[in-house]
Amino acid sequence: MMTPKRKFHFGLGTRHPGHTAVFVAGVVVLALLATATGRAEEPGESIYMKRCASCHGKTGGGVKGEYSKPLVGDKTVPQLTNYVTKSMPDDKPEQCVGKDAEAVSRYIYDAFYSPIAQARHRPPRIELSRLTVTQHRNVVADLIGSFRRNVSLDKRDGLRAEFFKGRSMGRDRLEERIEPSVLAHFDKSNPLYDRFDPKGFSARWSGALVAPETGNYEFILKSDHAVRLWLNQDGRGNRDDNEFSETKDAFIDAWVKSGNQIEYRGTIFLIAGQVYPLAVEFSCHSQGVGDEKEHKSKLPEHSFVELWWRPPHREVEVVPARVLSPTSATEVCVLNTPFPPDDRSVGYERGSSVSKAWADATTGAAIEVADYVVGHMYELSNTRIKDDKRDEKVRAFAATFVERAFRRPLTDFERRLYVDKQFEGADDIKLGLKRVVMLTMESPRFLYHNLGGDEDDAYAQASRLSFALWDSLPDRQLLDAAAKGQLAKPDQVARQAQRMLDDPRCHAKVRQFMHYWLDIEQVPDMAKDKEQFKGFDAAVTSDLRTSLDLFLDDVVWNGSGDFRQLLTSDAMYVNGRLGAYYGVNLPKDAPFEKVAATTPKRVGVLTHPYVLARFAYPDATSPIHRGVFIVRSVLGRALRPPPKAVAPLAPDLHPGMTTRQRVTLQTEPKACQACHGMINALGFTLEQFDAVGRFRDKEFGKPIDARGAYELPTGKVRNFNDAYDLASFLAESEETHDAFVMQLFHHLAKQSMMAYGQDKAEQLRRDFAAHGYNIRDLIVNAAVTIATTAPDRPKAEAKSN
Amino acid sequence: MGKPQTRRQFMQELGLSAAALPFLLNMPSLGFAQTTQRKKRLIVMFSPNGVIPENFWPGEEGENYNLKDSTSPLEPFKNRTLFLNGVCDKVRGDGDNHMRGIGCLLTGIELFPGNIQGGSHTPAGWSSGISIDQEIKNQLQKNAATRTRFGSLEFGVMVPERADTWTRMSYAGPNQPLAPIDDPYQMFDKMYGRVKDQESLKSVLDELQEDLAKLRTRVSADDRRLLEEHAQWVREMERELQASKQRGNDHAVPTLEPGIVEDNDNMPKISQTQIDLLVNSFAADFARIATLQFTRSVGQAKMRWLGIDEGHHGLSHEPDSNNDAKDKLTRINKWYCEQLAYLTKKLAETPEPGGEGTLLDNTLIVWTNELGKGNSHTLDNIPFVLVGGGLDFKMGRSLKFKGVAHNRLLMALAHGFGHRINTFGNPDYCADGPLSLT
Repeated sequence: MMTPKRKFHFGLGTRHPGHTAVFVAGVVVLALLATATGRAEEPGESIYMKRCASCHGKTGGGVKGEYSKPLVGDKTVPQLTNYVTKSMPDDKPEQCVGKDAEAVSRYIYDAFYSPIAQARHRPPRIELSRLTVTQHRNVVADLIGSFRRNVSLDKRDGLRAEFFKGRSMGRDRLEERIEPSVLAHFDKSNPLYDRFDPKGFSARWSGALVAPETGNYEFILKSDHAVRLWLNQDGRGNRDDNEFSETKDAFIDAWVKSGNQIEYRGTIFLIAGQVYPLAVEFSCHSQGVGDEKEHKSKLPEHSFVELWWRPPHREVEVVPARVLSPTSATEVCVLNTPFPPDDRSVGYERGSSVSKAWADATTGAAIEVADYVVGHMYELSNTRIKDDKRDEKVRAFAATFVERAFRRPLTDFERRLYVDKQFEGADDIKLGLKRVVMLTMESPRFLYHNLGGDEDDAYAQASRLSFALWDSLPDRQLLDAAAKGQLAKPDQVARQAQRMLDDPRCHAKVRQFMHYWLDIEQVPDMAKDKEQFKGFDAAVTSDLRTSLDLFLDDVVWNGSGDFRQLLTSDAMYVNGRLGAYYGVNLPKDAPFEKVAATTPKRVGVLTHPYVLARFAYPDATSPIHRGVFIVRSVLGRALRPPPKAVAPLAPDLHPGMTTRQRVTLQTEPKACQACHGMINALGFTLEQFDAVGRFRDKEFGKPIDARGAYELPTGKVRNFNDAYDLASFLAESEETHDAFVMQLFHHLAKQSMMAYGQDKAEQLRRDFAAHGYNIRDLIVNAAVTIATTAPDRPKAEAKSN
Repeated sequence: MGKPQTRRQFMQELGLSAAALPFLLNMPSLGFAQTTQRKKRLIVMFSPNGVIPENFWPGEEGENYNLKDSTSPLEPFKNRTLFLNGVCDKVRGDGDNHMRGIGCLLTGIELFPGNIQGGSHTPAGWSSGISIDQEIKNQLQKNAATRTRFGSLEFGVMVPERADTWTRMSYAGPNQPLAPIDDPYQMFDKMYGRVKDQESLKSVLDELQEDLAKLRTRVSADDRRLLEEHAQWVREMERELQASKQRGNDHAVPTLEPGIVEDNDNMPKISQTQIDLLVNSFAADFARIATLQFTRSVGQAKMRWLGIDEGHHGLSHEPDSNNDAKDKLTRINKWYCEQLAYLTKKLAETPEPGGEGTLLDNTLIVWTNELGKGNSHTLDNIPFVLVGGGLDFKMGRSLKFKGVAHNRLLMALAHGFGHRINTFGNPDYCADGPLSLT
């Protein structure tokens, strides 16, 4: 039996995945279809209207004086059918039995009774949410970081490099300068060479690393002499404030040079947008504790040290200057406990559900954080072993820790339960602290948004703002503003938001959104046919992803921040390797630089080779994938999955046909055209770019036809000659702007945009246009909306059935 | 090079990886009953800077021998002790004798050339081979009947915070030195952290229910569902903790005196604490192999509690004519021997869990040193004093070999575990097979 719900899926594409309005619209479509066709095989609705609606209401909401309760519940259709058969209508159950009972039950179930139907009807609201995994990790890092020295990021790229005359670093410094990377070779051509001690010299590169993405990073330290890498280790392991000095080896310790090894590796999990201390120490001299005069080492003619890495989803490269800064940073507490992934069913990560796996992970994390805090107790509490006020300071630290974790001042109840009681119950200070931290990390006041506090106040606003921009808790300045009542007006909130934009955590969050927008968050497999696309290897793919990131960052964070640039800019970031592959004349080992790609004109992300190659088959382009990307991501229109999985026609079985011809042939049937009419006509405009994004004007000897079209909301059709035409249209299209605003808002808020009110959504769109489509202004405005909108806290709702 | 120990690895070792948390918080089952063969265990105890031979080695050979000053604390266990005089570290190559002394002691193979310059000779790097304790551990871990939670534990006492050739004795393989843990709190956490966390977690979850109940009233009915589900998982975790507690650990968790600080003068206390933990780890069958490294080669402990203010290594360079130094060195070695005797006594007092006799009946301790004699830096006549019944060796004897390579002793240890290797370390020194000690 064909259910009404499935019928709905035959309706034309609705807009905007991820908000419940879709479903409301769906019901309307369903109703229209049903009425229009008046199908005899689906009498459920008419039976209901005839026999049930007078008591239960037209939409099952109940009728006063008759049956006032809404028809909602968790019975299945067969259960409902049984009930109807036995008991309904109230006076004459025999009137509705058999197929009729089944049909009306199915209708009731789908239209308003089932949990899904209820969700469909319930107006969107800001839901209680827990921290997402990303937020959990950031919060832990920033919470503990808040007790450490404030780090302000030096905007220069590269590291502080120091060179010392002899074996010991810190003595006889010959020179200090900023170097872009750790890539040093010392021989007679080096101006310092003659100033080194005849027995040897030493050098140090120090600063910070900003992780561009969250994930596992492999570091490769190469040297033929004593060398070590300190990474995310503050104080170089010389901590003496614990009972036992920690056995804190360098992250990679090759100070003992042994045998022929010249390459050392280590893997570390890093969180995007956090700033990690990094130092490479190098000593081209014999080591050991013997008398200096025993050392027979001699300054070699050549020695070297290099620092390479393999970031997540990338190939090995020298750690580039753009992720390095000569900042003196502090250790970051990186949560290593694995978490189950968050719900993304509506298109953005959100903390809308809990599970056993998640509860176990939070407990694992609670223990991990507790271990970390206790392990750094003296440092974080700013005390020492032999300090008369040690215990007092540790308790004070604990109270502040809880306060910051809850993102608001503690009530007496909280202070009593979370701090005092835990210390009282423990026989030593470390155990007490451990329990405070464990309990805090397990507390819903920590784990959920908008839960602490008796009412929605400035602290709640501050939290919403910082989670919107950073996926993390408020910093000191923001908390101060909350405390002083300086978040009362929207423009005060906006000023804070403006300040907070310029933070690596915000940059990381926006980059993650851009990856989502371009559907490259789950890193695609981009392997191509080796014959056809010789040289398109993992290194090129890796460089392309970097190239795209550089472009995205440039548009968003520099200059006018104009969204339209994303779709129309002819700028492309190219290094030597990409230059060779894509025909830009650069030296082979040239670092990334911005070039104007004019032959043919590239148009932003649409023609970026990474995007083009991502939406292509290994051996051919895919106008369908490219079209779907434009329809869904850029224009924000929903598409249903295809009715059946279809393998593309193989090029070699259709010799002489262009890709366009094959796709046209395959999607010719009427059943396909409802969607493919739109998809193909958009995807075809990118046909001038092959499966790796190189320009082509012919395919199989036939000229490329890149014409396309799009049916506007007005019903008129807009024609395009090529990608350039399309991009010019999309950049100015209100649909594109709407889609971008909504998707970005969802990414920032992790709540449905509709919950913030139809008028606020409209307002954001208008503001976006009024601000010249400045993405930074859009982010600020969205964040202010999120911060200043308090979630409803309805009094206990009448719970039905 | 020192392998980077990430916190992720550390967490995994502790078993706190979240997914399996409630189960991993529980102690592994002890499974004594399944063992049909008796357990065999090995402890290698290291103290540095050589000995004063005439105050160390028994003059006699055979079963009737007398203990000298330095080894007199072993008197109660004389019939369980085996002196092996005349065993020599013949490995040569790069590195000074202190470096090779400790680096080749358990590996029986040369150090790699490297950049660590000692007081003489050529610079060197790490050992080019695995050490015998790790070799045997790997063998035991291969077999389900002899596999334990850690396999081996590396204890240290006052080991300096420096990873170099002088501070590492155990090697997991070429260029893979293992750092001994000299912080008893860290070792305690490694062994019992789970249990302590389990206790804390239980108390914390109790408290959490109180606050969850309070917060439930604060949110709308729709949102309440989420909190109720959360509360349900918390209750389930509590039940799991309760269940795991009831499954029980028949092994009591020792208590550790709080507030011991790493300080030269605390060395006796740290030593005793580490030995207690070591014996505990064997009683709980966490490991069957352990090393216990006092300081390092060239160690400079100042045994002020014996009235000796000078550093150990400095004293060891004094010429034979310096009777004061000789006396002090004899007393220093006697102190180390007292630690050995304490360890032996603890093992002898601990019944073999699920078996017969005591831990000492099933444990062999090897007390050794990087040098034969401090002021000559000789690698001949390396102190090898064996105690306990772990390996079916015939104990209660003083044996005098004529300069046999110590590789053959290392092989004898492996053979004692039934691991019949034909060579160990540099094969040049293995020609006549394992020393026969049975």
